[in-house]
Amino acid sequence: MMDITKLPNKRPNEHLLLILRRHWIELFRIVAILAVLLIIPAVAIEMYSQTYSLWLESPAFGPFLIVLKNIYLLGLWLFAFIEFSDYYLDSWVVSNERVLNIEQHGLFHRITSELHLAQVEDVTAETQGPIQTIFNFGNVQVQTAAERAMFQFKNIPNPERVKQKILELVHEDKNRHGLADTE
Amino acid sequence: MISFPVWLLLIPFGIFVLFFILYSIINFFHLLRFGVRSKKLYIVMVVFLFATIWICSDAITELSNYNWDMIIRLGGSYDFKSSGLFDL
Repeated sequence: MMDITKLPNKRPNEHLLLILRRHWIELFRIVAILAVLLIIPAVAIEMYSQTYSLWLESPAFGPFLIVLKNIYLLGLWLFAFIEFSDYYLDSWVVSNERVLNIEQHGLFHRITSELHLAQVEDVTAETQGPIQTIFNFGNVQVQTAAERAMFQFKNIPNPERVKQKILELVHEDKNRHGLADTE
Repeated sequence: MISFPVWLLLIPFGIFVLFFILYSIINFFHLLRFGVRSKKLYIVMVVFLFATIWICSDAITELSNYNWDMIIRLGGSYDFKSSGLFDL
């Protein structure tokens, strides 16, 4: 398991400042879908409880119904767990030297990339729509001049504050390495 | 007329359970290998395990109530048409 206090390829005097993950509303979305898919059949069974009991008593149809029900429950549960893993394994780590982007796409596709603060040219925060505005989450884009031109922090909380923090860190890093613009 | 033993229904169920176990193990592996160490993660993994055990034990209890040696004859003894099946 990754110990977040120990960054990979840690530089001297590098320390962790931000660990970002998608907003909790993403988890709520998974829970909501799970709840709906559980409630609908439960309500149907409740409405047709007499018929359901009759079918369960059947020595042939009863086992079929039980097998179907358990396949459905286990399938839903596995879906929820995979979605949680996808949510949890996406993270963005900001230190005083670099930004790490860790993205999980499904179970068998993982992208890890990093960029040094000195490469950052522009940081943009974006909040779209009433839900993102009310719950204060959105995207932050970190632009560089490299081949992979942009990191995108997706649906993170407090995007404006994160943007400001990264800009401050970029400015400090450039001052530290003597790369700041002189006017 | 088609006839088959009821226990044949357990085969697709067994295949699905194997698939479930495999995917769960892969998921656990990913979380343990790449996940950030935290209490929240451990809690979620424990909840997942316990809920899985609960669903499976419930399934075993329900399935044990039936006679799996029985033969189903489609179109014969187990005709599922009956009046009032969908009466509330």
